Amino acid sequence: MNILVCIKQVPDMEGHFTPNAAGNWFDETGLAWRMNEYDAVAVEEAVRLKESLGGGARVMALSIGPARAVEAIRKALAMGCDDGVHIEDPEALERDPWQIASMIAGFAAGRGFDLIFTGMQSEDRGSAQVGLLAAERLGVASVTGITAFEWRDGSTTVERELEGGRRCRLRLKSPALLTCQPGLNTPRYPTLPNIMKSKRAALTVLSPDSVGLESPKVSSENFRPHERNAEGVILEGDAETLAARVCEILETRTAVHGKGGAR
Amino acid sequence: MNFKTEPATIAAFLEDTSNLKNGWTPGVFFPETPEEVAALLRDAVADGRRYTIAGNGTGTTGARIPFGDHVIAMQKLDRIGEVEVAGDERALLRVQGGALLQDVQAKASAAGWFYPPDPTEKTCFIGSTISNNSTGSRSLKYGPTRNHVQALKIALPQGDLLDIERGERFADADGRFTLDLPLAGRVTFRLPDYAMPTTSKHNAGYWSTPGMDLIDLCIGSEGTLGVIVEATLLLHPAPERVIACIAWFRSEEELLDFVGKARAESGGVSPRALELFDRRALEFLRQRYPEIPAKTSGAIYFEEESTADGEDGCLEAWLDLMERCGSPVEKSWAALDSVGLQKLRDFRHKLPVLVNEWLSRQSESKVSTDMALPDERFADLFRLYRDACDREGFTYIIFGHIGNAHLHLNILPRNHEEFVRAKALYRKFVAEVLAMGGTLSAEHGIGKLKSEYLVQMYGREGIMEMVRVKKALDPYLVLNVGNMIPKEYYE
Repeated sequence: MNILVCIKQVPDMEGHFTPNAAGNWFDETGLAWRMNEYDAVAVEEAVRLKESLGGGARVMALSIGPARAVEAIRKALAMGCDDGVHIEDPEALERDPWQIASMIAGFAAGRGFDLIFTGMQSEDRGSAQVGLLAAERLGVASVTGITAFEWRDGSTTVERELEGGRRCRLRLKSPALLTCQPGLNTPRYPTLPNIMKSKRAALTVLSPDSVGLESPKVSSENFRPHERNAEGVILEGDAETLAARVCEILETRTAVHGKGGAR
Repeated sequence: MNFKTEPATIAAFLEDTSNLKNGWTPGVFFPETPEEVAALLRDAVADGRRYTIAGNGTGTTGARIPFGDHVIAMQKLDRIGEVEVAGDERALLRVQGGALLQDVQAKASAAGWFYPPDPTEKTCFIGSTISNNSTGSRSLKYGPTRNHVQALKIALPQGDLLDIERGERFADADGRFTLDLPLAGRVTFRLPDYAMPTTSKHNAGYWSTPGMDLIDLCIGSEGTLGVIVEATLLLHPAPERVIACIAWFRSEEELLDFVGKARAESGGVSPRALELFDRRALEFLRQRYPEIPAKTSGAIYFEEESTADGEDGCLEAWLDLMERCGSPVEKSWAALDSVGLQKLRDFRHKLPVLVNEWLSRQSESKVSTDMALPDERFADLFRLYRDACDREGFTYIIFGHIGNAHLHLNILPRNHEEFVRAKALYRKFVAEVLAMGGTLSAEHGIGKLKSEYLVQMYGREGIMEMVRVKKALDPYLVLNVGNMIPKEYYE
């Protein structure tokens, strides 16, 4: 069995985000990088499946990104993936979901993957489109945001959450692409020997053009920090003064109690 | 400045994590500037008030719980300045006393710097961590908070605001400090004569060493000598890489052997943290982490700082040491990135949470220790706790900072008879640890809960020497009375 896991390296969300020079995305300076948490869930599920199948399965981890993305690939190897592929793309961070999906599909087409796992979304861009677009381009079935997974005799059963806390169960045939969300499993801790092995593993490096990078369909603009609301005001005084002040604020600064409104 | 007396608003100031009950206060002040804190103290005698300073409620010794005193809440003094690079691989960060430790660390980190002190609880006030000379897992490499404070602004009990820069005011040959203050006038006192333990962590009573810096007397004095309203912290460059790992052991002797070798930097390892989980602690954690390997006698969590170039060598050295000490390396849990590191720290943090959940279903409270021995005697402390608790047949766990010979023993009594026996055993432990050159408190401080044991440590004479220092700075006893020094020693 042939399994592909698509992973992304994202900044540590605790970091300090500022707009880049072009103002269309964030500046990378000073940020620490790690594997997207949703993707760690995907890696874990793929490795569990491989382990449950004994020796007959291989898991390949694929990441698109600049040189530093190899660290995310090595982490996937340390968690139990067998092979690592790096599409080295210094501009990956600013590419739209269509472009990323075009490269994933370009790579996966014709390689005979029975299952493709990926995170439901990335923690930085959060579009939740890449998995779905890749599946469409590959012409395979897909389910997004799975919370349970079972493989039996060539058929896959998954669960996903619906609105209002309901869940549904779906059965699908391979090949298929599944996007995973937290709750599906708890990603394992890599062991120290596996970390060392992963550091020595040879990775396949490809260029974006060699896997069919396409032009974007969406552009990002005006990346800016969250604008804070005005600060609170503490009023002091007796009840009458306080009531008068509240009325004044409602009249002058809001539409709740404007002139001509009900008194 | 707000002043609150409504029971619902001030109820939170009557508790911390010590479980100390029956605190009460006429009201809580919320000063917004250092000057407002100083003014409250200046007018304390005229206003007929005594003050207890409130940290953020994360303390374990009841220090912030008032028994009739007014409370000064520090949360509005929460400003954090900008990181100033000072050369020599150092930077400075000026903060107010009520800034949260986690916000201070985030500010340093965003600028590429690092504030090392890391008590487990990150929502404490920075001023409290200085008053308490706090430590954490990284103290193995970086030492206590004391090592990372460059300057303080302190509101003294008579209302003076005193700036103390490290390296400017030292005790004279007689161990005496003399201060000329605008409001209090000339204040002069001698340091206590008692000898301090040789442990690497110590937070029990006033600091006292020959020729010491005045700033070191204030650090760790648990707010009894003044209120820390502002501090200038020393930052280090953020480490390029950090590796973290949990190594499991099949026997306690192998585990202790590993700690000894890691402390001695055998094979080139250089830990910044070495933390113990004993077998019983792991049983608690197993409820939440079923993936903990079966048949485990204990685990050591370690961290080391590294560089991109040095990381492989660092990992090799640890792997080699683990193998030499019989740790099943194929079961280890390791992390090289921030998410992994946080997950391992959460694992550590989950232990007290699970213990407290268990305790909430019991009728008795736990009996816990915070003692330490000189570093090389870590195994003695572990065996002392383990053997005595086994003899008594107690339910207990041992965990914590084994690299600094500082272990937390939590005895979890199942009934009142066990609780009484556990308290008696605690007294015995205090005596034995002190006889072995240890300290009563390495981390949590004394507060109200442990002041009687401080007498056991320094004797009446030692306590009276502390009273002398306290009364020189606080002659009318307006500040944090009842903390550290038992009240009866003022009479």
